[in-house]
Amino acid sequence: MPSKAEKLLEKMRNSKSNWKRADLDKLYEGYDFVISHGGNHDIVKHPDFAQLRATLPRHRELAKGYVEFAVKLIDRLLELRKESEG
Amino acid sequence: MRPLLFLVADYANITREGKLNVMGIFNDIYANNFPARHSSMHLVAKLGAELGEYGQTRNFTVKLLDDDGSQIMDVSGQFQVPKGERGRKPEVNIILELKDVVFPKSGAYQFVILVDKDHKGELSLYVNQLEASKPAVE
Repeated sequence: MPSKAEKLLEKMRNSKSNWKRADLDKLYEGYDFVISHGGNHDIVKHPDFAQLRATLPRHRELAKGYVEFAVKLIDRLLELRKESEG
Repeated sequence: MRPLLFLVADYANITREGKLNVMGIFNDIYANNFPARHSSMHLVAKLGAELGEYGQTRNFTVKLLDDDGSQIMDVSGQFQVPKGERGRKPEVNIILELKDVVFPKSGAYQFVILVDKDHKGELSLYVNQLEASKPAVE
């Protein structure tokens, strides 16, 4: 049964518009990313794969590019997890 | 617009025929001391546009953030979307020469490119402390 984060990922894959910052936080945290509140922007990092990083603005409304990037980053995470398992 | 290419290199230019030349792509910088000044690097972005975007003016911003999310620098500019030749979708090349960028400490830095305030790509640049050479032990 898909987790909440997996369902959210599929919804974002289907439509990149009209998401809020809180939705993106839920998505990243659902895939074990850590969000740290930085100087001007927030930084998203994955504890197991240091190369997976993203920045987030502090606006409530999100431009769709941030959602597109998050989907790509999580797809890369899933590939890396599969490679490390296999 | 969609990102097709986003990288940092020693040098880049566009020829008279519109070819994009890029030399010495890198993701790491090494320095003995911090703050470290990097004399010159070229940030290259290639963006793909839709046919309907022809002639429109777009604003772009490139930001450099440190590992803590603090902004080190930003550069803004404008470009006009060209006409797509022979029915192909138009592409835009952006080359920024960044001179004397100062990195306050070692760590992972992030270049972010925004077009009309929408996120178009990110690129990690790792700034590393060179280890001091150890004295020879007999």
